[in-house]
Amino acid sequence: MTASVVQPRSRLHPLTPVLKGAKFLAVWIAAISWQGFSSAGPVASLVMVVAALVLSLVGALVSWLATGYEVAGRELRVYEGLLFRRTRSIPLERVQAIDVVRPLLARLAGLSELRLEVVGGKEAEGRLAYLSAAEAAHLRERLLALASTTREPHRDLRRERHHDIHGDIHSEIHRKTASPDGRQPLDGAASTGAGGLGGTPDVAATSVRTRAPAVASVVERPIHVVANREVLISQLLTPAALLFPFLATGSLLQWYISADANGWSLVTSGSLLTTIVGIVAMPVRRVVDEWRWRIGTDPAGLRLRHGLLETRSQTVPPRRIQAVSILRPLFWRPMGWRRTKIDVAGYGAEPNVNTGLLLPVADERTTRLIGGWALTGALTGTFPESTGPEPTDVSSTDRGSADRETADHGSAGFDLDVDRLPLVPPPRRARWLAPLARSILGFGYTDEFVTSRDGLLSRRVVVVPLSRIQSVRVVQGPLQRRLGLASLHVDTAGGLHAVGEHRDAREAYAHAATLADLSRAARRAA
Amino acid sequence: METPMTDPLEPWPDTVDWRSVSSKLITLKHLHLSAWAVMFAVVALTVWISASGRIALIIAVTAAALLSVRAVLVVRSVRAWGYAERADDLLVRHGLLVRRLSIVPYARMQFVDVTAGPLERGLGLATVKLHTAAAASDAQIPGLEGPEATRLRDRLAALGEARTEGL
Repeated sequence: MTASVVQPRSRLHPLTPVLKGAKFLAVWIAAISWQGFSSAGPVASLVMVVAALVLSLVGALVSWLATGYEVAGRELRVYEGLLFRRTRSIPLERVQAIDVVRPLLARLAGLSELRLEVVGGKEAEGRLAYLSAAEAAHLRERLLALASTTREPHRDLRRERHHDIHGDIHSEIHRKTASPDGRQPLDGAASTGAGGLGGTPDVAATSVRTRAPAVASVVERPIHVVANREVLISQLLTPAALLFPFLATGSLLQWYISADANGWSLVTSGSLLTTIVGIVAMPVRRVVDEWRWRIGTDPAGLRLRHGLLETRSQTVPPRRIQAVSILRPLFWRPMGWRRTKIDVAGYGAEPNVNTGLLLPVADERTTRLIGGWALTGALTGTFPESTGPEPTDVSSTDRGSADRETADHGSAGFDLDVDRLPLVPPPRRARWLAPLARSILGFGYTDEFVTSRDGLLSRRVVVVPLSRIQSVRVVQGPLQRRLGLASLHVDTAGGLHAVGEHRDAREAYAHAATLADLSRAARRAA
Repeated sequence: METPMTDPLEPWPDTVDWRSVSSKLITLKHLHLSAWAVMFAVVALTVWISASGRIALIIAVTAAALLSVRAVLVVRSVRAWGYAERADDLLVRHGLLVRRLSIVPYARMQFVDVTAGPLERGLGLATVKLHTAAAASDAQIPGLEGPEATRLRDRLAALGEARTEGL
């Protein structure tokens, strides 16, 4: 391709092998360990250390010789490896943030590392270690200039992180606690040009931990409050908590018997305690995390506040929502409760797509409204303005509050009624492969979203807006082939996927083609 | 996209222009299998020398049978690997026992990896892998000849930039 070459293929800084070799050396020495040194004697130890040093240096030198980077057209190409060569091409449109990282050793040598973060990707997909500080800054500026022509002037895309010798990131922490209610966007990360996450270059999904209960800003409108009592009961109704009495008694008996026979011992007591604590840790942690769950809305998006010991405040802009899922756990059936989760794409030091909770526990009506609210936001880009239910509290769980029903409808928001989703069950012959689950499995789509249902004991419904589909796959195993079935996977950036298990093979391929077209249209429209 | 019968080995044969990978990939996989064969031979030899000859014979025969079956299947499996570049997305199909088809839009592409190990490079082949934000996206095409791999990489990168539709 005759693309304009902005930066011809260049090597990294020549001191790189030395720095990387030094790191290898530390690893080698740790591997040999002091015991090895003492047993081998001083001369042999010295020989081993020198040999390790030479080997590390040679290895790092070879690796340095084989590594290069190049900016051709509007992509960055990174070449790596001598034996197993790899070229990574990153279109600059996709670059979300470029970090300049300076570990201690590099800083002493006057070098820095460039890390490129890609939209929706893991931590650092493109790494250039090490360049001279000036060169790194210069390259960063040029890459950013190439990446976007319309950069907002006040937004500083620079983000420097200083690592101490243990690799801890210090300056990040200071930035994060700057604003108590978490409305300040994480500086340093912004969508660069059209390739950004969701298109809106303003507030990112942030999460701030504060010690004091987070103070709601005046503009925020409360939507829903989850009763603490419900959170507590819902976690008591989890398998871990229900089994806890039996397991605890069993462990106690076992401990008593063994202590009786062998005498009281610290080990058995310790293991008993660990077992008991381990069993009950998860529900307890969830209760502590979901205490005082409040959902509100403000111009930036959805606001979630929760936490008992450590209060958290999260902002979810509508376009960052990748998928919504509603789970109906087995033990919550008598209460009619559901758990709603959303996948949210974030920025910065947070893992890039978080599967988070929207509603830890709620009855069916609230789930429908709030889930529908979130879905409308994901589909249209703004949360419905005047349509949310009144701020609800404990009394809203009364099933007989019929007068509330009329007040909430007549809204422009989507009503996420699971029963009315276009879920099509698999064909009858799927019963050979999924005898029990066949009646529960379902898959379907409209021209706005894809939805699937699965889960034998705990039903789970996933809704994915078409504009958030990453890729579509059809997988057919040998048994499925005999029965003329195939599974359709709709992949998203995150943990919630829509899967149509055991569809008719012909239909599965047809659906895949249709979904590809529909998702393209949805992306263009969005 | 309507066809009366969709054969998973070649979905939509009428409307999609499937391209296959180089048959040198078969040679590459056979080389890998020979390496395994050598390893098994060494194991059998050591067993024969140190322990009974009968066990060594069993090992040798089983290994030979499995490897030869695999060698035959490899031919079919490489022929089953195909890709197609459509206007807006990349289609990749592969697999004999478990048949897979991936449709990956160019706009969803994050970056493209071209990798080649020493044996691959010796045969002039490379593997192109398209990454999206979803970890499960499976758009990997091995056994591409050098110029074709470069062309595909360049084209994917250019198309990815051109169709930036965000996350």
